[in-house]
Amino acid sequence: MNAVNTESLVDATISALERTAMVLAEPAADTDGYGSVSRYARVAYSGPSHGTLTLCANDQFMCDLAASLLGVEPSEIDVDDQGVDALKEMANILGGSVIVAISGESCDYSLGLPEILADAGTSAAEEATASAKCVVTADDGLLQVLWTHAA
Amino acid sequence: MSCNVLIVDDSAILRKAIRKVVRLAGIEDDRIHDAGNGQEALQVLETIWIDLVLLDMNMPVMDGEQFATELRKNPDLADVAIVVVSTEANKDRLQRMRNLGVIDVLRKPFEPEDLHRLIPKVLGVTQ
Repeated sequence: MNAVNTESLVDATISALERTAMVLAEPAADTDGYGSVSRYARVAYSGPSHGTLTLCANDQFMCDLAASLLGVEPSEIDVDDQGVDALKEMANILGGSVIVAISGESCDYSLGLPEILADAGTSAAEEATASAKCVVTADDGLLQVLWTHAA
Repeated sequence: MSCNVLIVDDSAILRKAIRKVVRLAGIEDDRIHDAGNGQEALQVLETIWIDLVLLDMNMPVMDGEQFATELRKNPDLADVAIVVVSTEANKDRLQRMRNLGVIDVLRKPFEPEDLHRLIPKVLGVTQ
């Protein structure tokens, strides 16, 4: 199994955002100055080992992501509908990138369905035990990615 | 191009994003159909002839593999072209999809240009 670290998680996140939605993000040291994240999406994977990938985003990030996917202005986005859907899909896409990073092209992992977490409690617990985590920003948008891997 | 394309993905926003690319590839909007899972897709195929299915794999209700298996059981639909557009990376599952006659696999994340290039190529093969 290949290791995923903060650097590779940042690379996978930035690449997924750019390739899928032309959202140009850059790594950030922390979440200071961007307000608090408000939504959480998680996808689990299983195979020779198992784990989860959790995405935590602020409303601005979800609006920008959804707007880029749809080719409309962020002000036209309903964050509870299209914004949340975009975050779930990004969790799915990043989850796929992570399992390929773990096992290579000859992949024997499977991805579950992405889900929206009801509250911040679960993601806070995951942050404390995350195997790797990263923060990226795109304008005023903030995205935190937590990878938790169990043998 | 006067071909019918069916987008099957449980993400509504991704269906819209893919629809935009399919339109740019020259397919008229009223020839682009969509479904949120395999079961809905089979219902679309009962009423409309589809030339190309762009198929996600991990979906609730009926996933991509179950859909393709059901599709190939129907002799009238056995030749419908399928391209997998998914995060799916599991080698065994992808091999089973190829055994079901899937033409190509476009793994997410993909650039819109990747799909734009793929559509005429695939429809050229099937026409």
